[in-house]
Amino acid sequence: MTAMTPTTGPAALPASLFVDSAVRAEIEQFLYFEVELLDDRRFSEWLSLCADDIRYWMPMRRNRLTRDRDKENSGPDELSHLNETRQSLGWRVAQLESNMHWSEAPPSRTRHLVTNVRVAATETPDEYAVRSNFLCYRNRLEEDVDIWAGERGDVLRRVGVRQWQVVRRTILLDQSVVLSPNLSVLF
Amino acid sequence: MISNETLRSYVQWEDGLISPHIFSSEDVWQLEQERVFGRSWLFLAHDSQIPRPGDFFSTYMGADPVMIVRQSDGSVAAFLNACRHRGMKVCRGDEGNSKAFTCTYHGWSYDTAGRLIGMPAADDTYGPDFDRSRWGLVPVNRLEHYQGFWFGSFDESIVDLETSLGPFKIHMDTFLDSMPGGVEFVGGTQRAKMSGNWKIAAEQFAGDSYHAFQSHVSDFTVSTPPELLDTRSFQGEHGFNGFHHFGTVQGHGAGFNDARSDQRYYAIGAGTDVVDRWQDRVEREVRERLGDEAADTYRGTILHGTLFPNLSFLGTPTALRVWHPRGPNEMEMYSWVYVDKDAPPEVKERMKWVAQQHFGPQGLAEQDDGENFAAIAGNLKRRGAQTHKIMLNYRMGLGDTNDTHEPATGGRHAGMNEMPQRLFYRRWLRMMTEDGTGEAA
Ligand code: FES
Ligand SMILES: [Fe+2]
Repeated sequence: MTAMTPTTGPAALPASLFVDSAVRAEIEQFLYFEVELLDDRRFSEWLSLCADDIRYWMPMRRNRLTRDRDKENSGPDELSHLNETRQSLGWRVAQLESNMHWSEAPPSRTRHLVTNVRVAATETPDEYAVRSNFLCYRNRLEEDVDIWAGERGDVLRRVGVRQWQVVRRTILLDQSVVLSPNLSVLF
Repeated sequence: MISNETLRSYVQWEDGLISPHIFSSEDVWQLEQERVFGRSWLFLAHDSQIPRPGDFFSTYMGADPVMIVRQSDGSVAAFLNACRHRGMKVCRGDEGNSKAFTCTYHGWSYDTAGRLIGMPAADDTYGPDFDRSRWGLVPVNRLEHYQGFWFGSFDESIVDLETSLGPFKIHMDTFLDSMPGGVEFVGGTQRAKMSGNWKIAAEQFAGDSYHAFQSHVSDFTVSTPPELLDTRSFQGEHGFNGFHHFGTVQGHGAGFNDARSDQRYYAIGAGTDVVDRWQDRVEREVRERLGDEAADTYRGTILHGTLFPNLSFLGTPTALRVWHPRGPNEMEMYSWVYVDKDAPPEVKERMKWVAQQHFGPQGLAEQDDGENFAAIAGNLKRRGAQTHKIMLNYRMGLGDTNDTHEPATGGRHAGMNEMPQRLFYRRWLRMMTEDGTGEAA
């Protein structure tokens, strides 16, 4: 083993990560509760955690050559996988609960894992910028399995005592070609 | 190799009987690569995807990787995306702009015209007599465009593109040439790999309005305001008779609504009024520029269509997709949204949004198509002997010669009818069993 002389030392963590630990704990519990509702198929309750002005967006990922690596994710003028308002999320939830949405009837078994939660304050006192990683496992029918991994960038808003809502959600799915017959789950 | 006799027993299109073997057999799939994909016009890209010199788009022709590249003189060239040295992709970007394509294995590099222009230490390795001109990228032999849509074929002797459109040309015109400026693609290609044979998807877009009532019932129910549900979700006064189907001997097909009915817009839900008003304007424009026949089957009425073999489209919402074969039980969808170039920005934005709500792997409608395609493949993948003896029923409307529809040559048919699917497989069988492209009636 060759001796290594550290030239820079470990990178300093951004000061913005050091929010009050009680806030961080509350936000983590919120994120876990949210996916619990999805995995328990309590979709309407999940929808109530989305703010009226929510933007829920999942851009596409592309393989780009070095010089336009910054265009790996599709931009707002381009196509995206999801570009939802509260109203269209309501359609999706109603569809999931319709029992006639054949890609989820019989229902899938899903398990959302949420990790690597980073919380930063924003300029708006009751809103926090929250990043988390996710892994969602779906098993359906006999042997159909899909696994989606990615990151979410959220803006969460405190709306009451221990009450939170999602105001913005950007979902980065780590796939350039969607590798499942559909995207019928919520993240 | 699979015999013509076997293939004919699999595709009894005149009797509306199709064997599941054509969806699940490895032999059929392999032969299809040469005989269907090797001899058809295949959609590559739209002009608006590669506007500037050096712009490229990577896609597939059948299972073969290709790239289409804008040249410095404004023309377009297309090649197999496979290095002549060991065969790996020389362009590993999905889209972008490049002056040259350098293979990452040993560094052979090719210019945008596909010429081999560089080899590391060329003189020391291959010697001064090496003839680079023989080792350029393999070109796509024929390239033609129609309304800004570039098609390629590996078949040198294929008939010209316009001839191969046949009577389908009027549908191409009415959805791509509705406005004087034509259409452009919204940026980005949505890709999804899924279980299912590509023909199941292509034939569905060619002629299957029938599935929508069952497959997509949850979409209609949740996204349509109740006051519009009757007239906009196919359950209005005309019922199934409001539908027309169009099929051609080239294997192309489409399903559309009677332009006189009020059922024309499938694009339902909030914000659709903006798109509806625009489509009304488009209809007036089509009537003026292209005439009444075109206007009666104009874009706003077209529900779905397929240009043989694997380019499918929707008239409203305005979406296009190619079904790339990835093996007997696997396909990959490339999906785009197109908008009228002349449309104001807010209309373009709404067209994009409405299309994405319903179509694509996340679409309120298309999620359930993916489920159905995968479920068909799921049953066939197990290779059950009895399942494969079923002759599938493609007999809807068989023997019916309503309207201008002739069983063997196609035409237009009022009402639900699987004539377009039968003609799709008629063309497919001709290509699989005969020399040539199977164009002749
Ligand atoms: S494989 Fe491309 S240079 Fe060797
Ligand atoms: Fe469908």
